[in-house]
Amino acid sequence: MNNKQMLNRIDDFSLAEMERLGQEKNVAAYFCRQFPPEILAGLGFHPVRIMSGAVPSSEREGEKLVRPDACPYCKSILGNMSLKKGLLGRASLIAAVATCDMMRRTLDTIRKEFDIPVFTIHAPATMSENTRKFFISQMQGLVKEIYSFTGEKFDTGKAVSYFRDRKKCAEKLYRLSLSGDTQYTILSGLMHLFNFSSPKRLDHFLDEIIEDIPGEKPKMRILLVGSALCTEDNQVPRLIGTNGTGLVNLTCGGINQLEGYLNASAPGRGTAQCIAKFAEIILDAPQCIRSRPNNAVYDRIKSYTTKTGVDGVILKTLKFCDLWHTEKERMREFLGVPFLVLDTDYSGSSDESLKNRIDAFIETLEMSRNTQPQKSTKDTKKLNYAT
Amino acid sequence: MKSNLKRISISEWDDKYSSVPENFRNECRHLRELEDRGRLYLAAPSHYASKGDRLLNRLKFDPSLAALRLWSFLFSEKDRLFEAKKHGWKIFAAMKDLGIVPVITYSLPKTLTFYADEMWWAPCFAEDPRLLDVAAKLGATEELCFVRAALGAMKTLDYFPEPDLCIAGVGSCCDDFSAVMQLIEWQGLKVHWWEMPSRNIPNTGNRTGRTPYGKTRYKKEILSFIVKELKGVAEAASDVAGEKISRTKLLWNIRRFNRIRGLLSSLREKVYSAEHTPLPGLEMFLAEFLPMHGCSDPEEAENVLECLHREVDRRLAKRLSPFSGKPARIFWATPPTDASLITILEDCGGTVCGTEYLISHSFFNIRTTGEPFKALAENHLDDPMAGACGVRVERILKEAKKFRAEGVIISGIFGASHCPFEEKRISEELRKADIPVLSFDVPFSPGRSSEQVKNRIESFVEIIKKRR
Repeated sequence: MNNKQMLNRIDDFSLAEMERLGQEKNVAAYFCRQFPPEILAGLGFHPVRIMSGAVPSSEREGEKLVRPDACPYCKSILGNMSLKKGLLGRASLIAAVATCDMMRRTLDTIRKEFDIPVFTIHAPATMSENTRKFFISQMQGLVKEIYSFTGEKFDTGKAVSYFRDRKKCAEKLYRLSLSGDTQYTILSGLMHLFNFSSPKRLDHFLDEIIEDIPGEKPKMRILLVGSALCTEDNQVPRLIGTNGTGLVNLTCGGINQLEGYLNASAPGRGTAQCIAKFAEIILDAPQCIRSRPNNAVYDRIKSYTTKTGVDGVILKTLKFCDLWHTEKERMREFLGVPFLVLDTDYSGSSDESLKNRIDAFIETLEMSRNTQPQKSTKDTKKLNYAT
Repeated sequence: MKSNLKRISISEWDDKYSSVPENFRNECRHLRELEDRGRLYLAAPSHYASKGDRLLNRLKFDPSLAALRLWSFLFSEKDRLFEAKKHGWKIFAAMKDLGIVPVITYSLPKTLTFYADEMWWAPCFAEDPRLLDVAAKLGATEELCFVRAALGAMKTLDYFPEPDLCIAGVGSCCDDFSAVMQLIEWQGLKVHWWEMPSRNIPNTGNRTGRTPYGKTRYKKEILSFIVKELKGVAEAASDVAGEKISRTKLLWNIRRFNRIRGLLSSLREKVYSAEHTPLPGLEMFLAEFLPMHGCSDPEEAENVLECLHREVDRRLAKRLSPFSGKPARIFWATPPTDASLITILEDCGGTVCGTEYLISHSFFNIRTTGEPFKALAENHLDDPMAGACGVRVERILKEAKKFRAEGVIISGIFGASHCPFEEKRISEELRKADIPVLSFDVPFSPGRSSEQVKNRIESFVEIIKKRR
């Protein structure tokens, strides 16, 4: 099967899942990977993670509620709420973690502007025994709150079953993502499904197609890190792909939302223990750049550059995403590999400039590869690009 | 209202300075704990202008000795910090909490605590982008608010000595400063991180409490969490200082800061309620930042505020004001990085009659009964940044009405993470209450005022006066 045929299969499945979703009465939306969807599944909801709807029209609509100098992702959330578009348009409840300041305030704005119940807990930036216990107790409190609202008790069986299926999907998608051999649009389509479809059906679908997914060994690989990467926010991955370069997506739209499942085990059946366990899985998952201190994020990115043998790293940030963008110099120095920083939004207005910069970056990587078959940190330090 | 007073320029202060009574100069002492009787600190504003704070050349000052004392006290903070360090005192850099940590750390002897956040206005006062340029090289570029100057200052170490410990509050804080604090740690400085959770009102049930002074609602389970975090702060500071903080010391310090907070709170009431504003907005702007950390000398901060009170009382009794006629009463929300904007407002016929500078929790009292850390945790929950924007909106609306504001200025900073969300919300609520709003982003305009902002403030004041 070629890439086009595979994409058609994925699209067909995606359409069918979207139709099924349309018939669901209880759809709960969440945003950050630091919220465990298993909790929502246990409360009788169909969880959907909002990692789509990142289009210029939604961003513009969001600017009717907040100023333009807000994060494009947050603006698109507000815009999609206003327009009742996409996955958000189907949600009857929002459950979220208050992470960065902009997300926290986006949740606050949703609460004020829209007639949808919003349940939030605070995601700690620091990791200590106190913050761990606090996060777990908040999660338990959240379950009680949602139960009081809906009248539907938490069903550990549903939550655990959801977790098991989702873990299987995560493991398969992780292997595909790590190789960098799968065309980005295929992987992106599958990750989109991971965010909204039934994990049971997705798992079966993956079993059906996984052997048929075309794998082309790329001439080079790039590790992509940075702000959350939504489905439609694909100019950068596309541009990388058109150069015949493979991409390892280490953002919250990619591997970051999968890795936490790999070593996680299903919780026991007691309600409190079950909820606590799902909270712990989140706490033990790869840390966010927002964590303080965030040295573990750096160590992890570095280990991925080695593990995947990538030729360079691209830090792709969303405009006004301070938490990632300010790390650019520190990251450049720490990683010691060819490094490119791209600051983007959803408007598409800088596509030409992005293309030029990515082309130039890849060209330089190619030149370096051709002249220096064995990598040395001495040479790679020269191949650093400013924004 | 006829004014016998008028604001004066820096050169007019130079002319007056020699006539400052000797007994007043002798009263203005800081570092009393460092050496017997402390050291004199009073100086003319030109002294600080010549040392680098060039914006002072463009400002207009209240002509009173109390105001001179205030300016000198604030601008001599750098001297206090370096001197204390030289004498082996420990220096703590508190970051982000804006009023809680110093209450803990000042319970330790031979220590001073300052707020790195205050570097936010340093580039404007210096009229020099140097700190911003240093920060940019380290990754904190212009999409962040001016608080990135704190990173520059931590690198250059010419505004303060190297802190022995930075105490960084994260969690429900702005992304800009969270990012800056992480880069500060990257410079090799020792940082103790503590979690400031957001208030989070539950959707159902009645599991909320209310803070005793700010009357802010919060989720009850948060309080014990914050108490543990603050105890962690105390422990980290104690380790550096080599001494434990006793309950007695902490309570004593809470009472001390309550006195400072009470003085500022009542000063605001007197000044902003008055029919004819007795003290300019520029001096009130500086005064409002005193309770946060006592400007690295809580004892003298109390004296400075008492001195201001005496001056204000005198003016109220004699119906004196630096402003003649009937200036437009303007409530100012979000502190302007560029202090000259307040001078511009006052030059255009306006006067500041109220403020919400994001630090309102730093002049609420802290409870002195019960567990002291619990009382501090409650005060943290009064922080307008610690939860939903609605709390801040309510405070602005309430005080704007209370102080009979005819208009509100919201001065934001392009790129600051809270501004895009708050500005529209605050403006909307004020317009519903039929209060005109002017909002703009404060530009970095070294050496001259932004003509655009000046025109906008001028027009705003005109509109307000026409509405009367």
